[in-house]
Amino acid sequence: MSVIPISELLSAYLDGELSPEDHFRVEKMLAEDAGVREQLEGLCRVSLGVRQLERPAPPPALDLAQLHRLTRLDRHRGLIEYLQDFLPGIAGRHSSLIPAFALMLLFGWSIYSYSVWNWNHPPGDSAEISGKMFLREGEVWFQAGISNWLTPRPVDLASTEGQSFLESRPDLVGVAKLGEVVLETDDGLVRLIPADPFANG
Amino acid sequence: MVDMVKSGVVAAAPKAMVGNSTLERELWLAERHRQGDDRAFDEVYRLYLPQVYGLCLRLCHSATDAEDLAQETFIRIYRHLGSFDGRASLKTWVFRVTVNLCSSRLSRRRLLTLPVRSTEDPEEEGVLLVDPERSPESLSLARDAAERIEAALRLLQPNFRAAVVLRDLEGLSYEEIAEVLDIHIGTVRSRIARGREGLRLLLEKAEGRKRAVS
Repeated sequence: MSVIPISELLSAYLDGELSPEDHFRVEKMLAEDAGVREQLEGLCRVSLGVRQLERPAPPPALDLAQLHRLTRLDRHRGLIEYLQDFLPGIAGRHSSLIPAFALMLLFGWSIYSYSVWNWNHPPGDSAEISGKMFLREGEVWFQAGISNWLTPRPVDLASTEGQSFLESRPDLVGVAKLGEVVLETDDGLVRLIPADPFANG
Repeated sequence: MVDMVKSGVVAAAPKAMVGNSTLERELWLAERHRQGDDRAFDEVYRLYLPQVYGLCLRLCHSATDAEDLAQETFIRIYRHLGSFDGRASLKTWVFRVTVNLCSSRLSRRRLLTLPVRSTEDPEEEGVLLVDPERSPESLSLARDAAERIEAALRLLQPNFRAAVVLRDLEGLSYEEIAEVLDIHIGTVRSRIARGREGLRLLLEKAEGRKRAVS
């Protein structure tokens, strides 16, 4: 059990904030000790004096209209204020991290650029026809950068439909010469199946 | 939303929410504010302006600072009234915002206030030495009792001053003070007692000086 100093007990007694046991203890001390009674009177005078202080009237400058103007401004400040408050703080507190962060960004950008270049300039069999890059995987040529999770629509160039498709897309004539090709067209992903199987390679 | 307010849909409290309970009323004010009804905030402003300004003035002892802080307090209340959830009363919540703002303002000015620990009077550890205008001498020169108490309050350490002001001037319970100051209830009891004891000693000393002069 913690021992509460007598001044705390008396102060809390004055406020009626004591447990019944402590209240009883204080009453007993007050009945027995004149010094404690005197101390309580002193505290009582102080407390009463503070309670009797007048509440100051708010100045006229604190009027509601003025506050409304401020809150209206406040509504529009939102993010700007947040950034103004937050960013300099971050920059100030973690200024040593800024070069490290810049280096990380540079490193990330280099990796990204290399990946893009590598994608467009792959090693092994590749061909560029009509501005499009094609890569060979086994016996099939794939246009670089196409989505490989979509199923391409097969276009048999031996069929009439295939022929008319090729006639409507003269730019693909050169592509069709590669062999079996999967490429992106305006109609979606198509797989050109060559008319002559010996055309491959 | 504006249409809802104009048409009175928002302003008129549903019957279920119009209860005698203060908490229900306060939650309803927060709900109206969330829905864009500025009258809810006006009500909070009118209700608490005198208390907020008074508290700022007692804690900072500068009319300019108090005005500034009261305004800042209400801007903050305006921003966050919608998030009031009734875990504490609105009064406690408002006072908490006020005290926090005053504390940060005081801590920015802490270089001006140096704690004095007198070896002769260990009980006076809560008394501060501040600028000459607020010296213990000014306390004995204060003309009437109210002025002397005001002057003595200024000499108290901010922690003790806040506890005494919230209890004796604002009439908050120990539990409410604990919520406002975010401290344990035992610490509230201790701060109030030490604050009052400090005031008592300061007033007695001032009384003694006055008698000696006369």
